[in-house]
Amino acid sequence: MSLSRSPSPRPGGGWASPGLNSPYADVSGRASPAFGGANGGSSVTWESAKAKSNGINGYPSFSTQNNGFFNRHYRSISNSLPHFNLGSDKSYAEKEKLGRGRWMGRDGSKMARVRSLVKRVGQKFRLRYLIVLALVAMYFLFYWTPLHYYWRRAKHIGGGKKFVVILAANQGGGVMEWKGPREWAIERDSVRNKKKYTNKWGYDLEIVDMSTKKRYAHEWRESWEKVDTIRNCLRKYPDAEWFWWLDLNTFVMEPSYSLQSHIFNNLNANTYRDINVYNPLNITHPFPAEHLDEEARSAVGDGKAGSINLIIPQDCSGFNLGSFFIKRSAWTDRLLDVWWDPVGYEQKHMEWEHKEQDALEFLYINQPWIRPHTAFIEQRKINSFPEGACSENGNDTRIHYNEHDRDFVVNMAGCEWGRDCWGEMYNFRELSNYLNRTLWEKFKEDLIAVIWFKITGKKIRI
Amino acid sequence: MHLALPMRKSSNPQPYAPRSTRFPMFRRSRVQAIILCACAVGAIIFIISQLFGGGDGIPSGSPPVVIVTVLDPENYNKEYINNIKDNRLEYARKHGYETFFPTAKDYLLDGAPDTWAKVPAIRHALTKFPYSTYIWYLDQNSLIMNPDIAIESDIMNPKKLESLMIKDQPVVPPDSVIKTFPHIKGASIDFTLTQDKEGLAQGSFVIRKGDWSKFFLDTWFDPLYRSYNFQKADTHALVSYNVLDSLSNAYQCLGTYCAMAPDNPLETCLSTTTNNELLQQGRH
Repeated sequence: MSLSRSPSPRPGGGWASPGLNSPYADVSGRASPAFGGANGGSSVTWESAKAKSNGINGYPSFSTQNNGFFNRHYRSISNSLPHFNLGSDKSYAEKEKLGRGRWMGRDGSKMARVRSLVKRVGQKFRLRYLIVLALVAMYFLFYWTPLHYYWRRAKHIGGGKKFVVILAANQGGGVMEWKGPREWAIERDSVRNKKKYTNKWGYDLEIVDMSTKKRYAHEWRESWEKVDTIRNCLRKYPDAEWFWWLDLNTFVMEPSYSLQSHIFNNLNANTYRDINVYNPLNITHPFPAEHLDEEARSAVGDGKAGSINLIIPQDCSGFNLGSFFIKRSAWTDRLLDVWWDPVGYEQKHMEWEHKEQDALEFLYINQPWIRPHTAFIEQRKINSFPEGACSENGNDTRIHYNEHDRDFVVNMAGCEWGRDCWGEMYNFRELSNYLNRTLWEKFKEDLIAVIWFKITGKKIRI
Repeated sequence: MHLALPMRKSSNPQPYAPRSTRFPMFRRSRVQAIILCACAVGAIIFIISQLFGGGDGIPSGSPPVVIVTVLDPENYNKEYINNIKDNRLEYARKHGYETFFPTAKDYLLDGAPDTWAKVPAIRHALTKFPYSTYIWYLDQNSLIMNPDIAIESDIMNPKKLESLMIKDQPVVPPDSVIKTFPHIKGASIDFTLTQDKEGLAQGSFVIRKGDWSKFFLDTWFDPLYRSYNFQKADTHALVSYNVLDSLSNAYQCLGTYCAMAPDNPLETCLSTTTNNELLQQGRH
């Protein structure tokens, strides 16, 4: 660069020579100069240097320092902010600076403090902290976030996708009957209970509208639609293996039991094939015929868990279809076909008081191919009764709910005939909540509330 | 740590050689020998199982087809029964089949007509001959006329069956709503029967063994079917025939398994209804 005359500083800042002035002094290209400089340094220009020396030297042409609150506290305010040094538009003057484009913690900021703390903690402890942190993170990921729903559904981890809960709602409703507030309340509670349970374990919930439709309104077809519904579900959930039918008047008392751990991980131990173990219907078992094959004549079928396709509880008067399991298989397809068969209904619909339940019993008694694939389950495992049901012989430990044993599901069977459905549902709901209190709730209610009661004589609800 | 020179060896030699592993059994040379031995033993077991086990656990020499005929020695004379038996036995000997001749009295029918005995009889045959693939039920009033035709290769062979079966035709001939399936694989067929001009003929049919056959026979034999007052059940002998009709109407799954062979091959080539007089005589 050749200059016509030697450059000289101007009193306002900068140089009198045009070549020196513009591109280097202020080239940020922004209306207001960017606050640059990573380590507290800003671009040193002639103006700033001069202004500084002015302040020091005591010749202020105009004052730029200690000028009002903001200027005075500028540094302390901006220090606490995260600070980015953007590479693209910054002054050429700080080209050589390292750490451009990185987020720099500055001395004295919180980040820096944390970093120095981490540095001070030894390698060994750091590893331990990391493990604890990872565990906590995993707990939150798998138990709190919606993620736990997916991993419990996954095929090899949780396997929840294999189970579908079919809940028969709105029984007898629809055009036939108006529902009162109590019926609505029952339905709401029951549905909410199953929703919560299936969400927890990643199962599918199918709520079926069982209102009496015209299709089924022939006198002998009412309530047989169970068969049709199961068939529809088989089609709707192609990945599912087991379908759990639940009546509306049931309540899952222990949502912490998964179906896998409660029943299916050890199917053989949790079920029995030989109906003679508990046989309220006095069915002759094994099938009394010489010409059948060995499997059909054996009391337990082939005895393998894999051959069980239907799991039914028995109450005091025989099979109970308020809560039962059916598995996807060719056998099930055939059973549903025969079950739905019109020849049986047409002849027996006047005799069979329990409709499809009696039909299944009849099939079990008369068709030997059904027995080797049917298993029974102790009633209280999936279908405990309240004291009002099956009460002719008083309390039966095989049938009735016992809160000390923490029975899984309660079925208020027959409550619509002369018993208070809503009352029973409400009591069982409250009991379930009480039994499944968290530690914190127990602490509040069993300790704090009791102490408070002793001190003040007043009962409180925390 | 990288050193310029290797570490110096200890100058005092050890009194005995150090053991390479904890168990002397598993020295390298022995490990190889053990693995080789295990492979050899596995191969021998495999060969033996192949030699003696057979493919699906079916012992060699088990008959592929069992011919079932329910005899009625009370109402028919001995000579007639023996002729019928000989006819079956000769055919069975020619093809290596098995025969099974129960009587109606062998089974508890609970008051149902004797024609029902064929159902438990077939079930019985399935039990008695668990390794036979097909059960051919042939009425007492039928004769095998052309003993050259073999069941498993000339009729039930999937390729052959696909060409023989009646597709997309009403199940009960004139105007049944239910029609046989237009596209069905021969390999998926469990049950083959024929039609005559009145509907499904039940004097001669073939069932393949399996879960489906048990289901089918047990359902057919259900007391509700036996007691049902079917529309066309004017004679006792026709009751079971009507059940068959109603079954094929009621069951979707029967439709898929059921193949209708046209009248000709089974009816005329293999069997033919014997003289009507005998039939009448038998009934009264």
